[in-house]
Amino acid sequence: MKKCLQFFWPYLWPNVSAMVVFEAVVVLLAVVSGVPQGNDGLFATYFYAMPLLILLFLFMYSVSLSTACLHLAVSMGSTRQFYFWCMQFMLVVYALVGWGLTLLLPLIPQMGNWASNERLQILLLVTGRYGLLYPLLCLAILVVGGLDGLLMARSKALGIFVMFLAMLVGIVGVAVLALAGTGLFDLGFTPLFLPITVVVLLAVFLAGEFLLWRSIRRYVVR
Amino acid sequence: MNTGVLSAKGVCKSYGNNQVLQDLDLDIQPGKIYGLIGRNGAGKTTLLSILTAQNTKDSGEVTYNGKPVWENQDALSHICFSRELQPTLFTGPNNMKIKYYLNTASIFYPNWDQEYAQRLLQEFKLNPKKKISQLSKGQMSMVTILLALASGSDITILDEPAAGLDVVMRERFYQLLLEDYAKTGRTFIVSTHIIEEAASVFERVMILDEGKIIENAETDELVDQFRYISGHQEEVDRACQGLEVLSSRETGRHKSCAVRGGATQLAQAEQFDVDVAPMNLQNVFVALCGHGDEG
Repeated sequence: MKKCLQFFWPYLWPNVSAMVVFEAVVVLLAVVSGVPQGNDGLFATYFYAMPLLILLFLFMYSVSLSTACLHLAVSMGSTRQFYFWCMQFMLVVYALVGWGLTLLLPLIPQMGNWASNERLQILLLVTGRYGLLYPLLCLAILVVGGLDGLLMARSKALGIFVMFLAMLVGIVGVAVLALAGTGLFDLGFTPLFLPITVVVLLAVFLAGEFLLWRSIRRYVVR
Repeated sequence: MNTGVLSAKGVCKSYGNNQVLQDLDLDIQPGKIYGLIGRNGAGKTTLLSILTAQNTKDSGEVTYNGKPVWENQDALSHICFSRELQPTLFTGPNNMKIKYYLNTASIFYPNWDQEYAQRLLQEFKLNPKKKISQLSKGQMSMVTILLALASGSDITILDEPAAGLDVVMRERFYQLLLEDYAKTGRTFIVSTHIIEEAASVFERVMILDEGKIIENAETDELVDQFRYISGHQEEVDRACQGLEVLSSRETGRHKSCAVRGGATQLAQAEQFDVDVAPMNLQNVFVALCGHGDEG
């Protein structure tokens, strides 16, 4: 177990740092490009879409955990069981960091007294009244990413297809949230939205974990 | 007592309808250099992967020190299987750097010798910052050799270590292998297609054919059982009586046979008016596994 954690460390800190640096750069560019004054350019989009961009980061990290990292660790004598549990640790750390970075986002316009922007609703969606959904969403996306990596090991085409599908869902998600933010249409949140979403995300997470466990236990180095 | 013995009992493995390993039994004794030879697709890499728990088996058992190897961290920490590196990995080029492989090896192999690894890096003129996808085939082989030798593992397995190496490097590899063996006495299993060059290094040779280990013997003892007998057809037939004829070729009234037998039988064959010539390991391999393909 200790060996696996040691093995993951060189991945963990650069990946976490990359997310932090990316967010810092986007905030900086947003400030420089006049987003606080109400400028609605490219960096405003990046800034307000940050929760979804973070999900994209998490997805990619998770794919690498179940492809190159898994391949290398098992080929050098790690047991699959230890790998799986250490991977869980990585997923939790990634989810917490992603959540933490997202929680910071709405504070920045507040502290900087930014001009109000309707698209802020996107951030509030993941940090406000539905805030608890986000860490669950992070975990679900991490597990889906892990499964996609394992799928890729079997069929590159299928793996890449699922990856693009996940990206597409992310882009559509951004678009829907952005449009909803501008008040173009109402997402129609009902009192059932939260429990249904929690159940769906939990189901994805738990089923994904089961499949991840099963697939890693049978992983073959090719 | 099973100390240091890597065993396979009744191992079967198939890929779809293709039965690669069939009820395979094998004992790897400690402190020997084994050569594993077999034709393309014979299942060498599959066997080595199963022995090191990197591949699943359909049935059978693989043990180290009497305990199953599968998911056994204790057993796995004694075994290093240095596989051929791939220039592409999953979705694209293998962008992992050499130094990353070395760092990982230093974590997982408890007897990892960093100083030795550095020396070999210098000797092989490998830049640790280079990505695997940027290396030539020969350089990739050098990395696998480096990982295997510096791992210090009690059982060290190399799969096609000489692939892509020039003759000078191949010679150097065998020299390094023997130096390490003399110093540590650990077990090596080397799978190769370049048989004759490696023959002098192998203490024991295992021949894998059609999913089974058909020979697992001391190299010299095995080679000593084989001869080429050639001459007049009738005389050759008489000389071959009592010997196992593995293959024969006739040109007019001239006949040559590859035969196998005990020392006494082979000595008797020499009494006839025939030419009796020794075989080398490569000839033995062709005689046993050629199945008529040798022409």
